[in-house]
Amino acid sequence: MAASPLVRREARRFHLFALPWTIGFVFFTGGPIVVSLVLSFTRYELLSVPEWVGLDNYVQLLRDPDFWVATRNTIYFGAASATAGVVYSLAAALLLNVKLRGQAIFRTIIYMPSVISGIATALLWIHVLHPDYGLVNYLIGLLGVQGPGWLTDASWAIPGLVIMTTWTTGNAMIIFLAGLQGVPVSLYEAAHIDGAGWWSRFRNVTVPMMSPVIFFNLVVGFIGSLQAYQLILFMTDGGPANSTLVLGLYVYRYAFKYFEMGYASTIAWALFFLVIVFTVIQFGLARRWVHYEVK
Amino acid sequence: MHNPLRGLDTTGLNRRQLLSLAAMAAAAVPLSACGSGGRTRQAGPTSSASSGSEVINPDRPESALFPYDEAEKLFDSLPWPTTKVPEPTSKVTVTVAIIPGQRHEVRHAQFAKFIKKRHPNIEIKVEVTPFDDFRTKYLTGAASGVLPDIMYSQFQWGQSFIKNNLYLPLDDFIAETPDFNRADFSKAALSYWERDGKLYALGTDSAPKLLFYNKEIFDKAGAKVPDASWTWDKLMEAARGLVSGTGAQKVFGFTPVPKPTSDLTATFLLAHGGRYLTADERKCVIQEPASRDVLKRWMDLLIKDKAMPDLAETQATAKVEPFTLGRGALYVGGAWNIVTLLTLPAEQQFDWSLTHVPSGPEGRFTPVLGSAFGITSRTRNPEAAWIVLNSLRSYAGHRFFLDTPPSRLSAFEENLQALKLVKEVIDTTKESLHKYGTSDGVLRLPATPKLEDLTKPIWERVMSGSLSVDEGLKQVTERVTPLLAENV
Amino acid sequence: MAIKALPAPARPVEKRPVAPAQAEQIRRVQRMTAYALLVLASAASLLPLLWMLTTALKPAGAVLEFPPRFLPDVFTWSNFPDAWMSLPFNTFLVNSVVVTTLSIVGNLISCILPAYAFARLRSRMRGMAFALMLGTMMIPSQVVIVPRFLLFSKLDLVDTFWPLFLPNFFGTALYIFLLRQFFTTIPQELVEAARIDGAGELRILWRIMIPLSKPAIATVTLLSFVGAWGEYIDPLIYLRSTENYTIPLGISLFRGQYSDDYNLMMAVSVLALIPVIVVFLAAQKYFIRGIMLTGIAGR
Repeated sequence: MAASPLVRREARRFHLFALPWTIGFVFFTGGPIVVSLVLSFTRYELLSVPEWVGLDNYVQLLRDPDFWVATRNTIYFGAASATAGVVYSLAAALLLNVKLRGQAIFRTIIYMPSVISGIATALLWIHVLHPDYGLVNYLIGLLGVQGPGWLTDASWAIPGLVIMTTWTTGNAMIIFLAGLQGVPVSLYEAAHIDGAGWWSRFRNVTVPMMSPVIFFNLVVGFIGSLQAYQLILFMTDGGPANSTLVLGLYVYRYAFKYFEMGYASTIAWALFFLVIVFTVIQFGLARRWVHYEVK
Repeated sequence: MHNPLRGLDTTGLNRRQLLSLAAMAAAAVPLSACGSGGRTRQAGPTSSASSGSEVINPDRPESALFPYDEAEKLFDSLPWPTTKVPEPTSKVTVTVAIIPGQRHEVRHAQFAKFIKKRHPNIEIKVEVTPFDDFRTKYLTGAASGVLPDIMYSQFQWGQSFIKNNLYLPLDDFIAETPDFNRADFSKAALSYWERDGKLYALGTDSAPKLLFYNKEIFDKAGAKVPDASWTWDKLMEAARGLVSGTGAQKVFGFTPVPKPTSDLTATFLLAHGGRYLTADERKCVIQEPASRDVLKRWMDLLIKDKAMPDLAETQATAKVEPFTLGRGALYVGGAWNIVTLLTLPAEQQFDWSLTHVPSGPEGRFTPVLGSAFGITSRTRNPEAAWIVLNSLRSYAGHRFFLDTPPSRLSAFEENLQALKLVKEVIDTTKESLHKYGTSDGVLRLPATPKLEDLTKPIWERVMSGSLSVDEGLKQVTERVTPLLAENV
Repeated sequence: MAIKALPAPARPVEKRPVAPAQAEQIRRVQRMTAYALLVLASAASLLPLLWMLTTALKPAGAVLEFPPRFLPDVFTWSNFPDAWMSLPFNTFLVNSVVVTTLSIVGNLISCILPAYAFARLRSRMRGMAFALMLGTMMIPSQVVIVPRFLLFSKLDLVDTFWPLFLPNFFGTALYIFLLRQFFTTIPQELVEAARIDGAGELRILWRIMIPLSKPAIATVTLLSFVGAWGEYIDPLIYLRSTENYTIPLGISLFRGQYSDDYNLMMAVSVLALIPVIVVFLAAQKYFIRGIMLTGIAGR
């Protein structure tokens, strides 16, 4: 395709406008990432000089039983947490977008959990999920059912963590809320006149009009959930019996507990690969449902 | 609340002394009207009870616990050490990286100010970082060559700091300091910072583990409290009989549950002739009969007798030691718990005391744990750093900082008396530190954190009864053995 | 337009237009359901705040109680001034404000332009650059800390605020992606019309994109405020002198080796939340105004 002057001019503008990011990429993000890729082929104990070991770390990784446990847990936790987070935050945003008295207060309150420091959140949820006196099991008890040992039972620990992360998805909610402001009221009015019910309006107006924003929250939600480790570190530190050992936590352990940056980088790149797979799948699916104004 | 007027017990605190101690510890509370709300930072090997805190005024640093004038008087009265290492001829700054503990921050600020009287060219700058993030911060810095002049280290970090050349050997400086009395330091404590015959750091505190007991629980059960004659067999027997209640009211016979962690050997195995790893930490011997048999008995105590907290119960107390909640009859814990217990709020106080850890067929052993300060290899002023470190960790320094229990024997009694402890407690602590306290078997080589993480899930299955002790120990050995090659 | 977007799980309205009285009743049911759900979600969200507050009001030691009591016997209000004064939090506050402000300004300047480029300007490099940008979000941050520190230590910027805000002046992938998504929802006809009128790209950005994306820009401001305000790892790694510490670092000094002063920690955490609440309430205005502005732009 021969580039016309117009096309070339637009390309020049693209580069000019993207310049801040390009500089940042070279120095602050891309550069360090390349370094970490190189380190993943080394044995580097942080204080010694990195020593090139070729593919040794990757071979070790494939044979590392905990890596596979962590990969399984990461996929389970990541998918559950991201999905639950997007569903809850979208539902909350729709509710908060309804014109009702007191919405400013509701919006503020429902957003709050996501700005509370991790350590406070973790401390709180250890109590809320407590099998004996925790609030969650108390509520379950009202239904006449004995609640599980959320963080003490290996098969309930991840669901317990998902309940917690779902509740901290205020940022996604705000983004949805911002997106909802862009949905033209006229479309709803038209749908209403056609006699469309709330579900039909949601399906036929909200979702298509919001699709770029929903897509954003899904992609970002998956990236965040697959990398998550800080709350898990405070809450369970991978236990009980490795049931909450996720890759992010495994990277953290090698990087800042064992100080083996080489192997930590290797795990990180494996996690990177996993995130890419999920993201590419989402971009593939996006073609079917995400509606952009421009191609 | 039993027998408040019983007077002196054999080894421990009577109620009145306890109250007066609590009052002392609580001195911070009323005084802190202008300071803190009576913080009870619990003591650790490095930080003693801290309370009373204010914004540190660099010209006149003080807190409720450490008024400026008293601090200055104390500083002036102490015999600060000398060295032949030359004084800096122009102004130099020495940075000291510590962990938080208000007692230390204020004290360090006062020390920085007063030391100028003796060393006018030395400016001390203190950097404070929480314990949990200390290595993250300084090792990231170290990777790029950024380090303070003097740096804190906990016993488990020492060997890897030294191996990675973070610390300078101190032997040359010591040779230049004729008054330096190395024998004054607890041998066990210094051993964490020795490598290839060289010494790399000077201890702050050295704490043995002791047997604490809750007298109220013993009285209620009509049982006789432990004393120095107790064996581990007797302790297990007693623990079995002291369990009561359920749920949030459950009282445990003994804590903590033995686990394959760094001080398993010294606390639970040596007395029975067993070990987790060999002394060089290169071979796992936990499957040998001596270790296996005693661990089986402990797991019976946990699983069959339910005399110790299981996994859910451990999680249930949200990481707080049941003994400090008044829910444990017997507890083997570090001497720093003394201060923790003394500074409990009034309504949570209970009648406790302590004695020597029990003995076993092979004798009596207790791990000695602690922290230290060393000079980093990146310092620009090694001589000034030595002058500061030598003062900081001298007898006078130990007295000034009130390290409890101190690494230096010469400061031992005075520092513990400052807590108004009864003589028996002081003597028990001192004896356990010097007669049978050991660093043997306390894991400190680089693979340790990895060993702890790898064996934890295995041991959790053993504790829940889903894995037999034999099978658990076999898996521990299999997982641990390949890692031990890293222990050099 | 009261309940246009109402997702409340009330019985769906039938497909045929309904009688006004019936519609009014349905509307009321829906409104009540919406309220019920909002109250429920708020209760769940308020819990941690209340818990932080009551913990902050507990006397020392009472935080160790088991099982924990929700309300302390005595409200130790003095924990607030005591905690604030026990460390130089006034200094930390100033530091946090400086770093946060610079971070927000940096992000706003450096994210809008690239976002516009990724949304509306075509180039053969665009696809690849976009993929690279997303890629930078996918690498676990734990392994880039050390190489980044090396860079800033070579620049001799350790123990200064520069490493904390400078990267924000060169684009944050998350916000560029977010703005780009919003820019793509703006009708192309508006852009084309402006182009035909001879408007340049900057003018299109300034006159069309930004006004129509106010909710998104408010979101980026809010997120970058919250992010910088609560940031812990970077200040931990880079700052050395206590006089340079930010509020989260100051709070961390209440953590001891064996236990933590949770009550004081929570007291300062609650105080540190106040600016977040204020900013949030202020930013809301832009979400509301957004309805009217973009409402007009409906096709």
